[in-house]
Amino acid sequence: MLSKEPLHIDPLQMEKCPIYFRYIYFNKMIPLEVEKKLFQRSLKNGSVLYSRENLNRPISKIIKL
Amino acid sequence: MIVINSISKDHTTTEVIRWLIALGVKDFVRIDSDVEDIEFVGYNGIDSFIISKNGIPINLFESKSYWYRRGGVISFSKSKLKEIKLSQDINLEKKLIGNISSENQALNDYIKQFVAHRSPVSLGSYHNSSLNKLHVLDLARQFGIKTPGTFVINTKKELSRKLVENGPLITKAISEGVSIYNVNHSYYSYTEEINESDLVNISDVFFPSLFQKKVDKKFEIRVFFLSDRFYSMVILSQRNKQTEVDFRKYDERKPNRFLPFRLPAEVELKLAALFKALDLNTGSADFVVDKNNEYFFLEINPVGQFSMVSYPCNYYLEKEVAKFLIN
Repeated sequence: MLSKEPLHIDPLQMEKCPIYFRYIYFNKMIPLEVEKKLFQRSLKNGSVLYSRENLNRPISKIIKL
Repeated sequence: MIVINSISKDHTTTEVIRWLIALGVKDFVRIDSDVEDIEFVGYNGIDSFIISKNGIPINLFESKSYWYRRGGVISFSKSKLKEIKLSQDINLEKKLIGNISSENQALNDYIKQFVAHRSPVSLGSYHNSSLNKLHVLDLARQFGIKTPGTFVINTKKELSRKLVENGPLITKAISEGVSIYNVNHSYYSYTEEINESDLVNISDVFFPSLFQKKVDKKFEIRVFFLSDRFYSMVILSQRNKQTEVDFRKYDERKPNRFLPFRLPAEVELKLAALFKALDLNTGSADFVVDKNNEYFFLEINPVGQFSMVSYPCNYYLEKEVAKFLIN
C-alpha cells in the first residue's frame, strides 16, 4: 500500500545519506484516477496503452522539501 | 517478427509502434515487463522458444528484429513470490524464495540474450541498460573526451578543500537519483550546485557522494545516438535561475529553448568510439559547453527519453527507430 504521507528525513539521519539527499523535491500530483482518464486508453485486444511523453507523473511546480 | 521489450507507460515505445503500423508492419509484439500478461510456455533448444501474451503464443525463434527499449524482469511464477510458503524457518524461507527469484532472473536474462542474438537486427541492450557513471567518465577520458573534474567525497573537510581548489561544485547521484512517489506526492532529485555557504548545513562525515567541478555553461546538449548517427539538441537553460544547473527543473512559465545542433565531427568520432566500447548501438549522451567552447561530457543514458529531442528538433526519431527495426 502506498503511503499518503510526505517524505520526511530526520536531519540527524542525513549524515548517513549522500549529499544529494539534502535536495529532494516533491510535487503534489493529480489524482491517479484523473491521470488514468487523461493518459490511458484501451485497445480492442484488451490491452491498455499509456500515452504520455514524460514518464514522470504530472507536476505543476517544484517544491523543495 | 519484431520483438520489443518495454514498460507499459513508455510513450516513446507507443510512438515507434505507431510508425511501424504506418509503415505497414503487422508482425510485432510488445512485451511490457510491468504488465502481467506474459507467460512462459516452453523451450526445446532447437526451434521452439515460446512465451505467450494474453494467451497468444509467440515463438521467439521467429524474431527478426529486437529492440530492448527498457524494462526489467518479468515474473514467470504462477503466484506472487511473497505468497509462496515453503518453510517455517524464516531464514530458510527467504533463501529458498531467493533461489526461485534467481531462476526467474536467469530465465529473463536468457530470453533477452536469446532474442538479441537470434535477431539479425538488434537495438539497445538489456545487459548494458544501467551504466556506472564513474566508469563511463573514465572511459570517456580514455577516448580523449573532456569531462569535468570528478570526485567522490565523504567528509566536510575534503569537500571544503575541493571547493577552495575548484570553486563551485555540483553534486548528483552516482546511480539513478530519486524518482519515487506515493499516493499524493512525487519526489525527485536533480543536479545541485554546492558552494562554501552550503558547508554549514553539512555534517562532518556523510555517505560517499559524487561531486564535479561546475562548468561555467554556455549551453548544454542532449545527443541521441542511433546505430551510426547522432541527433543533437541544444538546451538554452543557462539564463534561467531555475534551470541553470539542471534543465529538468522545467520552468513552465518561461520554458528553455531547444534547438537542433550538430556536434563537432571530432566530438562525434570520440563519442561513437565510447558507445562502441560500451557495446551500445543506441542511447542518449549529455554534454555541457563552456564559455571557451570546450565540450564536457557528463553521462550516457542507454534508455533515455529521446522524444524530448525528437519533437523540438523535428528529427522524427520514432520513425527512424521504426525504420531501423524494419531493416
